[in-house]
Amino acid sequence: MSSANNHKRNSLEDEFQRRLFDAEARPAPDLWARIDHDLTVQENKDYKKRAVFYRQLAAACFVLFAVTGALLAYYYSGSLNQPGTQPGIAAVPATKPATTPTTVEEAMQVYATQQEEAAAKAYTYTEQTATTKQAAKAVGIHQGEQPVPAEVTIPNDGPQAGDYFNVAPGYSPYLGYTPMPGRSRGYVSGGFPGNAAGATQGNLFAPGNRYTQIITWESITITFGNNAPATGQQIPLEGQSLAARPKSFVEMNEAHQASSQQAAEVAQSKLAAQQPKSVEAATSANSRWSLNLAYVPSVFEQNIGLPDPLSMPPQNSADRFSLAAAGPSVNASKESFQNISAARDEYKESTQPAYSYAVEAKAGFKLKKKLKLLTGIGYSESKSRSRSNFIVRQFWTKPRSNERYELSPTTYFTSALNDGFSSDSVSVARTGDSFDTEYKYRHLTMPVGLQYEHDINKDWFVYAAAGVAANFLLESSVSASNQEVQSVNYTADDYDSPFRNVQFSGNGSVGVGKRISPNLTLALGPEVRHYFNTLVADPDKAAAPQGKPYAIGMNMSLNYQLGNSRK
Amino acid sequence: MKLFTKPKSDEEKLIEGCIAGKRDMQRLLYDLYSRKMMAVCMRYAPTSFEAEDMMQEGFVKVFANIQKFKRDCPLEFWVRRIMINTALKQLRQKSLMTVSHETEEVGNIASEGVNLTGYSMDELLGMIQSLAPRYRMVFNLYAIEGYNHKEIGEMLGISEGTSKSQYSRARAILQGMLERQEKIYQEHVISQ
Repeated sequence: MSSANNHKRNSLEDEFQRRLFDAEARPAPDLWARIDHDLTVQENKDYKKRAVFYRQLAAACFVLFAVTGALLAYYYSGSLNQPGTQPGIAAVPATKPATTPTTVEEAMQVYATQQEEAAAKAYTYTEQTATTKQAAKAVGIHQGEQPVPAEVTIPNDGPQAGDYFNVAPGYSPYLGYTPMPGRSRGYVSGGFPGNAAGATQGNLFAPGNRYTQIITWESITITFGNNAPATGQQIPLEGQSLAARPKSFVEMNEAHQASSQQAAEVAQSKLAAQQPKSVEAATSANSRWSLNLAYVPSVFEQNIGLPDPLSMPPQNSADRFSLAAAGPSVNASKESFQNISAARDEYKESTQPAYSYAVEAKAGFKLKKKLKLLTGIGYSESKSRSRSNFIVRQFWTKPRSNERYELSPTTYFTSALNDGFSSDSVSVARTGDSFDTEYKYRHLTMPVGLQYEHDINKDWFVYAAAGVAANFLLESSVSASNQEVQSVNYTADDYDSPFRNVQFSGNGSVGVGKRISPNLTLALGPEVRHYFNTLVADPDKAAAPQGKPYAIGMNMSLNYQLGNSRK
Repeated sequence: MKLFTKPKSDEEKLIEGCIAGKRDMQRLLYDLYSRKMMAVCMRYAPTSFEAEDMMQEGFVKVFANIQKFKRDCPLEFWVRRIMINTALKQLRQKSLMTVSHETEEVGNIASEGVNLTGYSMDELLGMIQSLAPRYRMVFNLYAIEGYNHKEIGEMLGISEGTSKSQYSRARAILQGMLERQEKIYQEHVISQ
């Protein structure tokens, strides 16, 4: 018979179970100490795993911030470089001047004038800096990196009549002074603005019309192409000293060499000073980094008023007045005028801050024992609200048919954001039912700041923080609860948005904090955020008075110290 | 919304304290179950030193995984199960659980009228510890813990038949031990 069949429980099993199931035995006295040690080791392992995770998270956040910052910088630098938006090199018009010299004599005269004007306006006493190179690139000027032969041979398929070119010595009228190391003398042959008609007469590249200049300095700038600066037009060279201009090229050379030597010494000293610091930072990196998550509910004051019709100067007749100080005139009835006053008073009384908030994720780096540098990325939503009984109705009149048609009614606030009412006539009408208007601004923020902490006792501390933030407008909207009234919504890409795309703010906060665990702290305190600019991009053109917005809130932040917190 | 919440039991507070990593709560749990668990480990381990190793590893596992305890059974059962699993794992690592699929013919051993009252705890533990590891495992799991052979087969990675076979062998060995002890006792009584 197989033993496999002997598996039924009987008295043996029951007896063993009765005696041994609830039996007790005394363990070794040091067994708990061994378990305690194992638990401590395991906790350290878990902690290290978490620390690695948070460090990777911090690194990922840093990369994210850097990429976001670079993209935003790229985006906004692109928009700033659009012609007409910003004075500067990028805004140099590419069109040719109306009058161009037609003869060599005229060209020489123009060149002489250029040199005189350049001497008066700009002088570059730096080496080929990045700025200079960039400026040259922007206008199509190529600076010689290599020594230029004494005689510059101009190819036949090079510049044509009507093109601009400029061969300048070390002191270029377009680029200023651009010394080149390694050369002390050189010949330059070049020319001046050519003939627009393309005829050989006056073309400096035509045989016999060559202008040769012997110079004692080697830096040469040659400009070709249609987008060269116009005659007499100088590239702005901001921040470059005219007072220290040397009188001769020999002085320039000496000054340049001295400047180069000084720059090299400064760079070496910086490198030497930085090396031990970086080593120190690497060795103590465990305890210096922290992660900070902040939530700041706040009240927001957009600080935008409405225009006072009484302060506006009257226009041609008593029935006409302008809502804008310098804007176009507007026709409005007396009833509308009274409504404007009433709407303004109503706006002033009813506008109140709505629930706003900001969230921020920051990485902290302990500069000193009590001082921490915090930077990261955040998002804020700022709202304000008002109640109104008035809407703005604007009318256009078709010129030929003299037919009058109405634009979509708007809030008085929206109408006052631009340079006045550009329609033919305006009517501020009272509605039957009052409606709510909500003003909302969403920003992507990139804060950077310092935080000082002082321990009260083991668990509690006080802190004071201050910093600045770049606020990138993501969306702005003015929405009315009245169906009749047109709500407006602008994104960052909308060129017709009256609001500023980027603005900076300063913030300060004080409060108390509690250490929840050795690595985790919770801080709470009031925070004030004040913007350095108005919400509207061009406050001078806006009819409504513009102030700088601010927000007052309560900062609630969690701080997680990576590594050992009490180093 | 609950206006009144059931007050937490002591065991619940103990569990929550252990989940939070409070060392004093962990110590309390250890004090509560250490004696019983030591006896469990001694049944599975050949020596008391190895039993302590099992118990040490078992309690570390208990504290590391206590958040996974679903409260569907008393905490003691859950801790006991972890101790048993730890014992099995340790013995498996020491290659003591290599099972030969032997089907030994041990015969149908009568076990009527077994009475262990006269044996001390140490004597009974000594008998079990003297078994070969594979027999000791199966005997403990079947006779004392109350698992059936199917469950034991799954736990040890052996077939149900093998579990039955090994149990029968272990039982026969223990029966022999008890008979020998009984014989010695009888001889001792007669001589007196």
